[in-house]
Amino acid sequence: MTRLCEVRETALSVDEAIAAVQRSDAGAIAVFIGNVRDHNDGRPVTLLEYEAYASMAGKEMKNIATEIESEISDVSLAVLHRIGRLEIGDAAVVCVASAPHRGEAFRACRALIDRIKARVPIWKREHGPDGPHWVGWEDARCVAHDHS
Amino acid sequence: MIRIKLLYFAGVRDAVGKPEETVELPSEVRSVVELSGHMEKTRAALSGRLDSVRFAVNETFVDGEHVLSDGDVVALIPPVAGG
Repeated sequence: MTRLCEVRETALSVDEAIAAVQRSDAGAIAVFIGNVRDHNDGRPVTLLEYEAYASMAGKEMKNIATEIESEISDVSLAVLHRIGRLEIGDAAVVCVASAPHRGEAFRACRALIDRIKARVPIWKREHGPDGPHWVGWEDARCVAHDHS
Repeated sequence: MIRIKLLYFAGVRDAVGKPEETVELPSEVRSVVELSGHMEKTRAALSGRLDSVRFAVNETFVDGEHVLSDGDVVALIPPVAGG
């Protein structure tokens, strides 16, 4: 089965991601949508610019999906990640997981977004009143803490 | 002589001022950790800044002990922030 794990420069379709994991034996589909938020760590955000090492990002997302499908039985996964200039409210990432039952679908979807955020070579430059900065690199104001 | 292509992204690219370059490694630089040290020494903009940067060779993450080969494509991966 070909797995949908892609970096795109255009608006994401949640329906497309769902269709990619639909199976007649899957009674549950869990969806996570990551949207651009209007604030981060107490500061207003006006725009996010996403950048990817696109060829590696696609591979790494496929690796993650394969890993999770081997860890949680009978799940199917798909992910779309957008890059470029995103406005407040735009979907930056769509993760979907299907499974016979909801427990596995939720668990697999959560693992998918968590590992994508930890490992996939995608970056974002946050724009706000203080000017732009690369999140996690130039932002000494954001000390390590849990955003999950 | 080993020649590699370096890829720079996001904050690293802004610091270096270009997206990629091809370099010849001095003979004492063979592993990824040696490359990291070499780059901090030879590029002022990266001095003291590579602790949080991971390396990928030919699109796969590697650890510091990984030995580089001629023709490798080596990407500097600053802290990722997808999602």
